[in-house]
Amino acid sequence: MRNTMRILLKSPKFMFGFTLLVLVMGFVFIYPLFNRADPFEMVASGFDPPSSEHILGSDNFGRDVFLELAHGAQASLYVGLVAGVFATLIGLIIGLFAGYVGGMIDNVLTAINNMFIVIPPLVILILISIGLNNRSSLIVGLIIGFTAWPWTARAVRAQTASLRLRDHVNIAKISGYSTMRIILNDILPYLASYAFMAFILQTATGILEEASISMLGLGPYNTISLGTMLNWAMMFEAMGTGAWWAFIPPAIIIGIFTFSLYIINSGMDEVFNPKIRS
Amino acid sequence: MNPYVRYFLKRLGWSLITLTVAVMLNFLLPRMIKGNPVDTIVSSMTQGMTNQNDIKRVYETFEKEFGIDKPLWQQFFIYVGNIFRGDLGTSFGQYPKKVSTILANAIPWTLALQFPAIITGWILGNILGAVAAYRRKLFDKIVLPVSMAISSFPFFAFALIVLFFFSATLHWFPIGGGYSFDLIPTLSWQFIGSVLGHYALPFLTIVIVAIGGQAIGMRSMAIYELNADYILYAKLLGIRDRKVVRYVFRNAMLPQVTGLALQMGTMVGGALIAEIVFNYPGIGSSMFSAIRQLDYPLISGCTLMITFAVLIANFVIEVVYGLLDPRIKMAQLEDN
Amino acid sequence: MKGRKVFIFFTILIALCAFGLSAADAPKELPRNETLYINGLQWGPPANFNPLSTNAAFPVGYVNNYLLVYETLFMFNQLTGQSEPLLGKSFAWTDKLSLKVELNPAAKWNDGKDLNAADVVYSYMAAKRYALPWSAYMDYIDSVTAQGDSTVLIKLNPAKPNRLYALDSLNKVYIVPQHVWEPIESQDGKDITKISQEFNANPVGSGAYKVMFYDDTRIICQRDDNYWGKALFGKLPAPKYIAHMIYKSNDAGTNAFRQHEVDVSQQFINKVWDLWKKGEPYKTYLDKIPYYLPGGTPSITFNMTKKGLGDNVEVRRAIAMCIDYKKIAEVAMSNYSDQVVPGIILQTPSEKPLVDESAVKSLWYKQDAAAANKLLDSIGAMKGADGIRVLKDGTRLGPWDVSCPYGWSDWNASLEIVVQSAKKIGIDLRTKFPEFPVWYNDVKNGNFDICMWSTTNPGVAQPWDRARDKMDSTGVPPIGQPVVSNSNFGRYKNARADELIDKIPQETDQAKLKEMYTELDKIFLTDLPIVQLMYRPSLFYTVYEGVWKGLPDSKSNPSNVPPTPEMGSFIKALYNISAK
Repeated sequence: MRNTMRILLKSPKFMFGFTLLVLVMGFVFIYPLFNRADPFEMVASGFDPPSSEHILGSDNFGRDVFLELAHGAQASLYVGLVAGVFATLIGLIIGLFAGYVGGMIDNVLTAINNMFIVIPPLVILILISIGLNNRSSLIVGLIIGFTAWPWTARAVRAQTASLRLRDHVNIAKISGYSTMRIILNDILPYLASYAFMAFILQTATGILEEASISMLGLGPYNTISLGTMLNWAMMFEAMGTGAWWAFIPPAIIIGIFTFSLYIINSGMDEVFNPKIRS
Repeated sequence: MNPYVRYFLKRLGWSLITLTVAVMLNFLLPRMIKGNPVDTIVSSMTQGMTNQNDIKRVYETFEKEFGIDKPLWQQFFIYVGNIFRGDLGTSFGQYPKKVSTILANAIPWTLALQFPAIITGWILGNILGAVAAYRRKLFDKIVLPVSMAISSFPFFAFALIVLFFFSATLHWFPIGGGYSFDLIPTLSWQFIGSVLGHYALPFLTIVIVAIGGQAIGMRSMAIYELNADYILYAKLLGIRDRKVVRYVFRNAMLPQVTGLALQMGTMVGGALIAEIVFNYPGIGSSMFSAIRQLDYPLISGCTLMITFAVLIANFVIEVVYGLLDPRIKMAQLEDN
Repeated sequence: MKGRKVFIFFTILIALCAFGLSAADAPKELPRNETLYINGLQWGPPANFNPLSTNAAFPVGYVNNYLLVYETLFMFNQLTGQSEPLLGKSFAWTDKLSLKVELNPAAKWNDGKDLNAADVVYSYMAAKRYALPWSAYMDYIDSVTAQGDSTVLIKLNPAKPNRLYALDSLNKVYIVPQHVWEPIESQDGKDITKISQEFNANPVGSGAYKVMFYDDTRIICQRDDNYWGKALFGKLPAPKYIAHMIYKSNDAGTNAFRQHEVDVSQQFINKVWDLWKKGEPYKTYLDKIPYYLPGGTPSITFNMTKKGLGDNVEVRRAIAMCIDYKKIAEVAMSNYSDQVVPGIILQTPSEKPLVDESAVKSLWYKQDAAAANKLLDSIGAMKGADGIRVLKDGTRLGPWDVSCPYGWSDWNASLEIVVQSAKKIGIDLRTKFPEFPVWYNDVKNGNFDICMWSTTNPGVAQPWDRARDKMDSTGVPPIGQPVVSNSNFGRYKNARADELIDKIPQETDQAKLKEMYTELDKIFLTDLPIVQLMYRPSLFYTVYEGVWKGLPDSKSNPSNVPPTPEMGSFIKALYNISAK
């Protein structure tokens, strides 16, 4: 484990992404500690341009965009994490089970898996979201996770299937250990790196999906998130009236989050899959 | 049995099962939405009516027409039966227009926009990725981060910014829509020109984002291939670079083809967003308004169409993959 | 390889274009200087052009009273409050229950046949047989009979003699051709659900325009050069075509407006003054705040059966006093609203004389958070640990939902401000923005805490109709059953108010009327079943003058055309404009 960490820290890509992420998270979590105002408070008139008082001006309600950015990023991150955890967990469980047990169960699970991959996730997302009456950040995260697990499951299954044939697993089987124990002790550790990378990707996807679904108006209620900020900006024609500060900053923050996560992922990919290293 | 035919039948079988599940989802999910769907349409139809009996009569008529008075499983079979007859139901929001009519008007626009865009993006992205993989150094250092950056930006926002920058500010492209506001669809060069003009921006946006996504994947695949033994051997043998690249390309392509099949779903989702942003009269826009009006038959129809199209594309690609990859043939032969 | 691909691609594209065709013999292009473009009156593909249907598309839709294809007897002018002659020439009360209307003998249908009393009788009486958009009037009208070819007599229902509604019907009831609809009635087996679903693609109306082309993205009308109204107006309307593009959303429509693709926009446009900042030829009716004339007051309606809210007038009054109205006007409405003067009347020349201001002035409220706090303190509503007050009987003031449909941006913004304002005095409100159909269904059934809705449109029956809409409890079913029409979602009940609402339409004595209206206003301001948030025009009116000149504004409006796009006597505007 420590060895892995050392190698990671040496990888330029990983460090770059990691640093970027830490910087943004720093802003997101530390700024509200200094500025304890309520982001819902309407302190200016609508679409005020950036000034010394409000660094990024105000949105259509007259709320401080800079403050909203910090709180909104926290909310979006929360949704992304919930989605990431949920998707990775389900993906792992299904993938492990399908890959290890094999046979009919594998066929059925793979079929279900393929269905969810092929049916556009946005579509399922929309169908489920419009049916719900009370959408909190948690619920939105769960729904996104629910539509994102197939990728993880697929890859996990493939890895598990090949791992299953390894000697140490056979030995464990002969020794009479239970399926559960074998999966947890002999297979999961080999997948750890992959699972973690998948988690990172899923979180990035979660953040992006939250933005998409909020812009369609199906985002979390009564929450300021980067997606809902974009939604309000779009509804009030921020771009059309030239109020770029209400629209572009949230989009950029989403981009930075996702970009840093992708680069971290790419860096980790190089470490764990040596053939890609230059 | 011919190994190809076996492979073909197997894929067909799974596709059909997936289709069935998709139909079931399309049927169930909207119906789980709170509230009686007939309420919404009755509300709009009885605006201004004062007599309770009249309203009740309208209500009952619609209940019967939409079959809401029957148990769920019966409704499902009627629904499936109707689909086979090409009847996707009647829209609530645009009552009494039939869903199939609405979709028939929208599908050509979506097809014309999405599939060329996705495929073009895929081809260009793969080329870019392969080149980046081969020529490492500078090209690679730029291409990879740039493609990553593009695909990390939320697509909706990207499309809106493109729209405002190129349309509203620079006036290079029209502001949206399928064709110019003062034209009526006829088979004339002016109309076609207008269509193409309006086509450009959404097309470009989808292509750029698709390139971004593809380039990354292709690059990894290509690098993987480049380090393979046979490449080293070929280089040692002195085979020209260009030929080597062709081998790399072909081999790296295969998983990308599979990738395309799997990505179809996601890409179509993204392209739908493009339609909404650019006010393009395709399925995406229809679905968007259907969502706003909670028009269940239309929502179901749209999602079914989309899933169906993706499934077909998926199936075609898998068959093509089977023809391309000799290993599949080997696997089938072994099975025999 | 690549070339072939391109060729195939273009062939497919052309084939697809051919696939998407409709009208074969329509003109290929609409000349810009002969076409008037409108937006904001049609939000989805046209469902039908059937005047008997409740969801007919522009230009037939009933709600906004378009007179382009079908016409009414008289047209309402929101500026003057008068009913101006159209199909009817004059009207007069012959006795307390009878209204005699003289028709214009020149009136004709666009298929050449004459329009006479029989058609008027048919149009009214059909609303008694079936549930039509204007059937509500027939509760108060006993019969409409022809007295010769050019005169009709409207007799009121002696049990419910509502003179105001009878007068209102003159401006609202579409006159439809008997010779077209009577056969359709028999053909459809006298079943209104079938009749109202007839598409009616080529409407036979008496108006100046015919429906020429429609698809999912636009509706185009063409002028009928044989229009009978030439005799009445002296000439034909100027635009040869009137086109309405169908935009998916507010911003798409406004973008097009900014690109000069629309001439008259009925959409809410943020910061409209930015349009003419750079010297571009845009204008609104007024050239400074509030830019638009008030037509109604969107308000929040309280569910009068909710504990703590409906049974506690101080809580309602405190809410009324805490709302930052200035912020709402500024942020949500881009300053298109002056400070609202609470009450059942609008501060217009026709309505102001109806209420004795001195008697009600003391009941007016304005934003005063300190006073609101004091009021709540005085009834013993103490703030809990979370900052939210609790009444003496233990009822917590919240959480209550304040709802309106998603996407109605100015309303969404207003409610966000209401929630923030309420937080400051210790009331816990939360916004809720469901999709319109879900929200509408909920409020009609009374499943809400506080919802936002508008007041009824200007007309000759105001301010009575506004009061009736919000205060009348006759026929309002209990929570759980839907209200008919959009009245009184909150189930407000006050016996004296019901009495006054019943008696006012029958009263002819001006002095007595003033007394009754004043009393009604007092009850309204004391009970506060709704809190008015802002003024809103009945229809927005923003104009691009780059192509068509002569559209009215406050400085130049010689024919007194009301700035209400396509509604009522706005139609007069079409005669005064000219294109470059």
